[in-house]
Amino acid sequence: MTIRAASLAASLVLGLTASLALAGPAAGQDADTTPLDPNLRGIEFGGRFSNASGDVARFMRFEDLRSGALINRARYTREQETRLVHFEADRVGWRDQHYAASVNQFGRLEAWFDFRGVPFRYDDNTRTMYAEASPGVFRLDDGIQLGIQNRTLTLDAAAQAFSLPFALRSQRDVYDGGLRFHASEHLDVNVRTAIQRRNGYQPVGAGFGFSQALELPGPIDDRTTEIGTSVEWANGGRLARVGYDGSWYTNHADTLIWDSPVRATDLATASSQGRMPRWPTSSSHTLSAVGSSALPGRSRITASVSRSQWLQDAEILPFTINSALTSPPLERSTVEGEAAVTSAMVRFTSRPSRWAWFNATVRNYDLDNRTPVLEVPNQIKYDQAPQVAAVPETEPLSFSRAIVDLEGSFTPWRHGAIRVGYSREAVDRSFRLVEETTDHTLRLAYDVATLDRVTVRADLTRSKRTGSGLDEEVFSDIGEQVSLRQFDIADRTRTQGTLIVTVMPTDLFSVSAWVGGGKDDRSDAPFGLADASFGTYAVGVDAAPRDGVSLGLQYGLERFSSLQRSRQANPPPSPQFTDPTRDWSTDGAERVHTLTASFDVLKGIPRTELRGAFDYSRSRSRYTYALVPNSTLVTPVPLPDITNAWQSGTIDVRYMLRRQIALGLGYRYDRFTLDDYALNPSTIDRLVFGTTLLMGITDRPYTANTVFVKLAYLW
Amino acid sequence: MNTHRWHATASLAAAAAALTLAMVVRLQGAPAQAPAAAAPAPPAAASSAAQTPKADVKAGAAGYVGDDETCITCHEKQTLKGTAHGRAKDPRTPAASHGCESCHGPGQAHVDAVDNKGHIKVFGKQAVARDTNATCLTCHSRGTHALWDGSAHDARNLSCATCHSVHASKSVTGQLTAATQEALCITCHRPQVLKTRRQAHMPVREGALSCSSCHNPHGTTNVRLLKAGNWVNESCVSCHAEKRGPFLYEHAAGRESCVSCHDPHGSNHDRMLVARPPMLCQRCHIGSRHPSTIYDGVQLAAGSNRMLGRSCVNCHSAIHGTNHPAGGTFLR
Repeated sequence: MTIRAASLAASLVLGLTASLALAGPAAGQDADTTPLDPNLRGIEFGGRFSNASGDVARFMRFEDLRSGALINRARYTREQETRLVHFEADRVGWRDQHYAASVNQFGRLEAWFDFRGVPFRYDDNTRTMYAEASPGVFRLDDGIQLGIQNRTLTLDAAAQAFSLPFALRSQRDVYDGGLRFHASEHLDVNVRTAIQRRNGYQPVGAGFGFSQALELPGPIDDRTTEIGTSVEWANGGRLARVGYDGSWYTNHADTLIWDSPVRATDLATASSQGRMPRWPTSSSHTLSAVGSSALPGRSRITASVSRSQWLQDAEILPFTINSALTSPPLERSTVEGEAAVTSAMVRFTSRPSRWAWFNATVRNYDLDNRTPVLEVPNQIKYDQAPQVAAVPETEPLSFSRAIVDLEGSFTPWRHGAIRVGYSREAVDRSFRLVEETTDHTLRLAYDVATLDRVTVRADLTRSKRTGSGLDEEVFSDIGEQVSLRQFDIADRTRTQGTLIVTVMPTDLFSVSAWVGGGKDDRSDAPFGLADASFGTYAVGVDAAPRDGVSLGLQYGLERFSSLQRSRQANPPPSPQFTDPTRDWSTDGAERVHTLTASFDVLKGIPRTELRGAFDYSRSRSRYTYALVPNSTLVTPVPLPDITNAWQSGTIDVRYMLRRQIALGLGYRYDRFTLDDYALNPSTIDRLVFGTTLLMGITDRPYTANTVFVKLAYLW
Repeated sequence: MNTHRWHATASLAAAAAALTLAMVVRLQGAPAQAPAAAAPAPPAAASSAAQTPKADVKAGAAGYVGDDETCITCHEKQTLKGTAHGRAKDPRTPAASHGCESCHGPGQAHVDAVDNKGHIKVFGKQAVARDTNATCLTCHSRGTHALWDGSAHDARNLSCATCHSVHASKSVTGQLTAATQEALCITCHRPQVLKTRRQAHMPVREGALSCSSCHNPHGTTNVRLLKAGNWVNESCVSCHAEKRGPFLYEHAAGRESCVSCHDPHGSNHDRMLVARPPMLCQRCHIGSRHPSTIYDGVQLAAGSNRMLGRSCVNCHSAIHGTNHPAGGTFLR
């Protein structure tokens, strides 16, 4: 804290000194009262004082809001007759720092670079008794393992005594850069490269089957490099583009090994350690081409085609690391994963007159998974359970989507366009219960967007998906209820609609109303998700009573509901499996209120700009179990509601001392409360539940007050 | 899977490739065709004129005033100066061609009119989207704008001026009619933007991402105006490349679409899941044994590891796919 206070003081002194020094030569410009644009040239020196209580990690999940000196909103823009140079830096030195630079040599070259740090602060209160002996290898003290194995120590006592606190978080740094070279009036050459690096830890479940679930800090140490190049020719109504995009994902922590907390020595039925692969290193390569040409009658034809190859050839780990078991042989040592993805689209669009518009699109997407099937008849699951596999081979999933989209828009009178559309999406897939589905969709929309005082946008969509190729024998092979229909491929009828009305009684004031809703109905699914619906209602008011002053207020209510059915049963031949008195259902209901308000007073108060905003969101989710009449199941005990409420308010004042120097003061208030029965501290009140060892991740409320002090120099 | 689907894709791909190639070949050396929408020859459409120095263009252009200062006499707040359109050294800008008249058309008749009304193209709210867009697309026909025609926003008769303002933009970049992308997109996409305020969300409200991080509102080859790739998942794995695979074992619903389980705009459930697990998983996995159990208050009080913490994923942690040879249930 002392160091931060010192750096804050140094920042303010440095800023003030620099500002005053720089302000001298420009003082003569004070006669010009035109406000300087802080987005062009400026820099802010200052400090941030943050006082947060509760779940600080959640408060700062994607932001670094710790107290300290802050150099922020540095902007430099220099535009000359032939060139534009721009540089910007935000939150210099902090975990969420951002830098960007660009050069635009007009008509010749554009180059840019962007760096952004994105922290992910998961939880600061996590604890574990594991130590990372080497990257990806988590060990326990042998004494703990032996103690638990010999029953001189319990897992609970060990976790209480030996778990050490650590902060569970990761950091994603994204570098992005590229250039566009204007080779001629009509020809561009584009090159882009992006690198994402991630480091840190995330929660990973790494147990030993049903008997024991373990939560570990899974290491993240990976990098994704992307390179994209394209050559684009455009002249008037015609365009042609060819390109290559490559992506290389490299994981430096691709294996996780961990000790069992309950075994120090290997047995055939209990391993002293476990091992699992994590994300494998992979790559993808895509060649693509786009062509487009204007046609007579204000028509255009556009076509695109791309071909990708996804490659992944990681080593296949042996079934087990358990020395008391012999891993069944594998027919190959690496995955040899490969998928060929072919995508193509042809679109014809025409606006032959002001009152009519037509569009026809044909799109195909084919993911052909060419990964060879791996025969695995004999397996060892979770390092301690040799068994003959129910499904003795891998199933490389492939699918192909063919979409035909026809639309027409008609404007029978000056204000108001009617759009009708029809889509047919046919999906053909492998290794799923329903191999083919076809979705027919009808769309109707009405838009009034050319009146000065009123805008209306309304649409209604109705779609019906039906499947074929269902092999009910597959269900019994895998122990599923024959009437199960997985919700993403089940027969389904969907109805959705939206109405948006905006009224502007005067140029200074507008009111908008938004009503939307929809329902997915899966009447053919006795088990699984039967229906899901939503409704959204919102109103908003925007006002700009005078130049430089604006206000906005919006309220929204969203409702979601779902119904899903199941049967609590043991697998056949148990009679439970076919006993309808064991059926149950879950009604899911969720309601969210959202309120946003903002105001800007940029003119009217001498030398002062005032901005404020407030966001509020409150939600409640409820899952209610219901049994069928004459049920043989025990009446369920209701679950508590899941609630959360978030509010964030900011107020920002800027006072111009001189034309180049401004003092700023900002305040931000954040408050978050939540109650999730599965994650709140009263539920996760210890690390061990039976044989399950967690890290203590919980959802907790927070309250935070943050003050920003800023000294801005503009030039 | 039937092979005819692949053949259909291959055929369409071949047709698209042939069409693309034909266009490229046809275009070589072909004179530029001015889009029918553009009343006067705008800068890029009139290719020969666009490469001619500004003064020469003006000197020979009938009906043109040829001087932006004349326009600014009345329209003082609508200057191009300081905007991307005003960079005269960039041959692709209006300033390099007819200035204000590049977009608004020849203005001499407008100037000469008794009441100075009409006789010129305007792009206010009452303008027909087709005409406004045709003017903008005269130049903005490449890069991220190349696939506007027939895109979702084009289909709803949105005009460029619905979201952009050349003379009175409110944003720092993009010349938007609202201060931020969020503030603009919420006009029509309210549920999606409101979801960014949920407890589980991507860092949109924190400023690390914006709507255009994933979407290109001007048209794409992907569905849902997604910017990267050609299917939903290709957009997701452009950042989450670790989940790209292909893996030895894959979660079928996830392989087909990430949004089967996740809501990318935000949700009230951890990891942006569309429902709380185990209920989410039980929407499909209801067969027998533990997936079909009622996880109620009794199970919660007993500390069931299918309810606590991350629920099903406490054990099935490799749910997105795995290379473990016994990974069929994603426990390894």
